[in-house]
Formats: sequence, structure tokens, C-alpha cells
Amino acid sequence: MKKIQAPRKVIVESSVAKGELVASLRKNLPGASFETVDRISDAVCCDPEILEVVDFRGRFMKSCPGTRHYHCCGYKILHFGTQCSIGCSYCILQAYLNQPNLRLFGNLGQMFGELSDALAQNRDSLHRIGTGEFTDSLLLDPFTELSRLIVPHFARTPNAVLELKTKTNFVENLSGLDHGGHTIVAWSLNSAQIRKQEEPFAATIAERIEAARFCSGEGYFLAFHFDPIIDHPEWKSGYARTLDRLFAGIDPARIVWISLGAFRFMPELKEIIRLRHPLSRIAYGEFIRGLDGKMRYFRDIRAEFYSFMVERIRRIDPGLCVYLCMENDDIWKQSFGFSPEERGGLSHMLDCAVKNRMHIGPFEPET
Amino acid sequence: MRFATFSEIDLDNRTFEIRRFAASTRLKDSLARFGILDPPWLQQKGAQYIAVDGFQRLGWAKENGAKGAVCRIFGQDCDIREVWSRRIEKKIFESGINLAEKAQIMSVLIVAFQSQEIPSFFLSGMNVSNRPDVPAKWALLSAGGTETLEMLASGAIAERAALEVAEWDERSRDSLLSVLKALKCSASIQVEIVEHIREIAVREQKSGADIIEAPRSREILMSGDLNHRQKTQALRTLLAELRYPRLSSRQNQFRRDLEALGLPSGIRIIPPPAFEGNNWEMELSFNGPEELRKIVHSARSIVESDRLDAIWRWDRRPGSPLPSAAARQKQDENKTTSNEG
Repeated sequence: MKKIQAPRKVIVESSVAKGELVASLRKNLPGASFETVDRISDAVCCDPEILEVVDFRGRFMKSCPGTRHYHCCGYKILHFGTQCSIGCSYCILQAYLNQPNLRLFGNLGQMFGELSDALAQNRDSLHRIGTGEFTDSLLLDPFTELSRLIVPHFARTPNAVLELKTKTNFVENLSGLDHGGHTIVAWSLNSAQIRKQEEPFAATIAERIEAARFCSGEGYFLAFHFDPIIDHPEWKSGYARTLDRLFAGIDPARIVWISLGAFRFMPELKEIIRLRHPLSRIAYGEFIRGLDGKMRYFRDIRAEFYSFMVERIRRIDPGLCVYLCMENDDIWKQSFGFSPEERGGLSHMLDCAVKNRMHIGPFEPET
Repeated sequence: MRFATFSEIDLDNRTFEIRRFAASTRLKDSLARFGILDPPWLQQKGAQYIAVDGFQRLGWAKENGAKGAVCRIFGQDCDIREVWSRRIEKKIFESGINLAEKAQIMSVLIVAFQSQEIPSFFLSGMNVSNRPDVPAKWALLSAGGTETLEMLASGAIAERAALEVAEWDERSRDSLLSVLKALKCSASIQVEIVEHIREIAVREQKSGADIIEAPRSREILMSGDLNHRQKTQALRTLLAELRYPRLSSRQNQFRRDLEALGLPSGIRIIPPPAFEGNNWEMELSFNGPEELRKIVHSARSIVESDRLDAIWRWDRRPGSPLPSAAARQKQDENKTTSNEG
């Protein structure tokens, strides 16, 4: 991956200016100017050279924004920042957030406090927590070194696993950490053609797989997300090739799960893609309005994607947990031959994958 | 104000002209009845004047033998932006401007003021969005030339549709505008047609004209048997098929499957929109208890047969027929035999 352009200016809210996060940024961004202000207001336009560090007043722990119409994995989000500068054409963040600049939450003490409180609840059940929902988990890690704080925190928590989702190969900070086998490092994967056209500033497929190998060597468990799967000419050979490269480079036994999700988007994103990525054709597939109001491929197309991918993955490792992100029973049955309910629900399936591959759980009921 | 003679006015200078591109007798009638009520505007240019506003009034006066007219005069040193601003304000204020006039005005404004600095009262006066890309689209339409402007002035083209095609290549834009003019359909249908054509063209890496001028489209548009409403409907159906080929194919398959099932008239099975989700509906139409009993009775054997299940067999490729009852029975017999073996 081309080295990410380091922010040239860091604007910091005064209440977090002396915190650990800002100290790391000052150390790792020697060329950047730092400005301290009382309060950062929402910007109207995106300035990729600016990084904002705010005193976040919202909730750090969130539930994955699933809807009742489609099966959700029941994952919890540790919300440490917003936005992403990788600039993928399909990125939902373009339409999702009303503030466009990269933003981190500087009040780490509160974040870890809230995380500890959440983990202290339901000690007899597994918490699957990820950080890659509103930003890329590792994009700014070379500057923040946040992984060095979060990963060991999970190592000390018996009933939780952390999933770091990224499209980068910024994994140096993960080296030598005490992760205790409780961290999954996950990559979003796609066909090489989609990678090149729609996510040109992300790491290449080869770089991602190489980074995954590195993490595997460091004892981390891995996950992969084929999301978004995008309809394009030769999609079958494109995705098959990526799967072949993945399994040629990675021992499937280290993979906790692989998720599949066909491209879906809020209707507003279509116009944004048209304006910001005029060469992209991804918004002109056969999309219909889903039951959750998002645009998604007509069901036959989704089912064909999933059936193809599931069959290819099963050939390599029939026991590997493969799941669909935000799909209904109908599509599950057509792709897998069963619905999540028949296996105890999607959350249970993922908990089982953690137990089987990572040997975490089950947990004793609280007395 | 002063009386300017035609020898002092350079009527060939059309710098400030905003043409209507649509014939109207209203002004001519008024001039014939009352003469010039509202003095034309001129600006001094060297030893002469050029017309700013009132091209038709001045032309009428000259044709009718007048030596000149009482005009409002802008001095030579008057800022051109100021003159244009007044000219445009008067135009917007006086009458409902058509799309061709709007395009010309926007192209003037975009030159006179930077795109972001166009005074908001002009935009709101013309009901133009203040999105940064919109003035440029109007300017492109204005630059499209007489043919484009005449179609815009015809009143048959919806504003949103016109803006959608502004950035298209000239051939595609004019081709589509002439189709919309001929179809005389509503604004929302125009936008649907434009969006479908654009998206098909982008996806297939063709031009809009390639889609409009393809044989199937031409057959509809050139048909002597269809009126403009029927042409509109046929074109919409064709474009929907091209835009959503697999969904259309599935819908056609579903229709054929239903027909093959032979449900009694009075029963309709309605799939969820775009077959998304599991909310299927059955609609019964009957005129009383007797008919209801009859429909339910004759539908029972179909509903209970596994031929009905085939409709929900999504992995069946579109185009493959429903298994006939006899074939199905044979399949079942074979299955029984092999299980026993």
C-alpha cells in the first residue's frame, strides 16, 4: 500500500490535548502542525490533510446497525473515530456521516471505561467487538498506536474477542503484542479488478494477504470479509482468483470466519458516487429497494454470488464458518441449504466459530 | 431617458439578446393596439447605442416607419455586470421565462459572476437550485445551439430531464430531447426515461444515442400504429427490461409459471416487490359465497400439488418450464424406487 498521506494539521480539543492519543500523534506526526481549540465544529467540506481529535460525548459502545428484516451477526462496535481517507467509491461513510474529516476520539480513558463496563456485563456470554464500522481499524494506527492499547486490553478479558477490520497493511504495531489469542485481524477482500477500480488507494490483494500471513505468524487469528461483492464482468473468475490466492497464502485453520455481503447502499449514495467517482459503474447494477430501505442487488444475483463463494470455500475447508452479512432466510437457504435459526441463530454460529477455532468459551453462568 | 433615432442604434449588435425560441403573437398584438408602452433600454457604445432590452419593440417600430423611440440609456461607463443584472432582473420579473431563456440567462450569469457568486435572488427568481453544478449545466444547454434551445422552449421538456441530459454528448442530448418532445409524457416519466437510458449507457459503455437509436427503441418510436401514450409505455417497458434484465426475466418467468399452473380466474398470486422478502399475497375476487366456494374448490388441487412449489424454486433457471404433473409423478416414482433399492 502506498504510504498513507500523513495529516498535515491536527486540530485538538483542549480537554483532550494532554491525553495519550495526542501524545502518540505528536510523536508520530513530527511534520504536522497542532492547533488546540475549545471545540471543533462540524466541517462542511472534507479536507484530507486535517485530522481532528475530539472529546467524544456520545456512546463508545454501539450495536451493529442491523435491521429486523435481515440477519445480523450481533457484533458490537467499539467506536473510536469516524471517517476514512482510503476513498473507496462504494464507501457507505460518504453518505453516512455529516462530518467529513478524519476524526478520532481523544478521551481514551472514558472509552476504555465504557468498554470495561460493557465487558463486565454478561460474563457468561461472549462479546464479539470490532472497531471497523465507522472507520478503518488500522488506517491511522501508525500514528495513533491505538492497537497497542486495545489489543492487550482484550487479552485480559476472558469472554471477549476483538476484531480489527482493515483494507490496509498497517500491521507493524501488532507485532510482539500480548494479544492472548483474543484478537482477530480481518481484511476486506474483493476481486482484483474491483480492488483496482473501486478501492485504488487501499492495499493490493497481495499486500493484504501478506499482512495477514504476518499476523498469523504473530499468533493472531484471522477473518476475511468479501464485502461488498460487486457484480462485474468476469466476477466469478475474479472472486475465485482472490479465494485461490487467499488459501494459497493462509492456513484456513487460522481463519475464524469469512463473511459475504453483496453491495448494498443507502439511496443517497448513488448520487454521491456519480459526482465523486464519475468513472465508477457500480451503482448501475440491478439494484432494488430492500426491506430495510437500502438498495441491494435483485435476490437471484445475490444468491448466485453467495452460492458460488460458499461452494468454493467449502471445497477448501468445509468446517470454516462462512456467513452472510444482512441477508434473509430465503437467501440463506438457497446459498447454504439452511437458515441461521436452524443452527441456533447467526450470533450463536459465530460464537461457535470462536469456540472451535480460538478455543474461547463456553463460559460458566454467573452465580 | 431620451429619444434615440435608428441611425444611432446598432440593431445588429445582439450582445444582450435573450431569445424566446418560441413564437408568440402577444407582444405584436399589444404593440399594434397600444404602441410601445415600456421604453426599450440602450447602452452607449462609442458614437452609437446598442440594444439591451426591447429588441422586438425596436424592430416593430422600425418596420412601421418610426424614426426612433424613447429609450432608457445606460452610459458607456456603466459596468456590464450591472447592465446584465438589470436586464435579467427585468426579464425574470416581467414574464414566465421558458427553459431556453433560463438556459441563456444562466450562461450569462455564469460568465458575469463566478458560479458561486451568482446572486441568490436571480436563482430563486428562476427557481434554480444553488447546487454548484447546476449553473454549469444550464450553460451547457444554452451552448447546445438553436435546435436544443427550440426544444427547450417548446414547453414539452421537463426541467429536471433537461438538466439530466445537459452533460450528454450533443448527438445523445438532441436525440433524447426530440424523443421526449414527441412522447409528450409527464415530468416524472421523462426523468425515469432519461435515468434509465443514462444508466444503461454507462453500464454498457455506450452513448445515450446508441440506446435510443437501437433497433428495438426505433421500432417503438417510429411505429405508425402506436399513439404517443402507447409509445411511452412501450419504451418504458423496453428500458426497464434493458436496465433490469435479470429481474425482468424473473418476472416474465413468474408470469409464465402462473399461467402454466392454471389457477382459476378470480385468484391472483402477488409476489413481494422485486421478489424481495417473503411477503407473498393471494388475491381472491368473487361476487358472492357461491363463486368463492367454486374458486376455492377448483384451486385446491393446484395449491396442494407440488407444482406450486416450483414457483419458489429460485435455482430454476429463467426460461425452464414448470414440471408437468405427469413428469413430476414419474420423478416421484423413480425416487421411491431408488430409495427402496
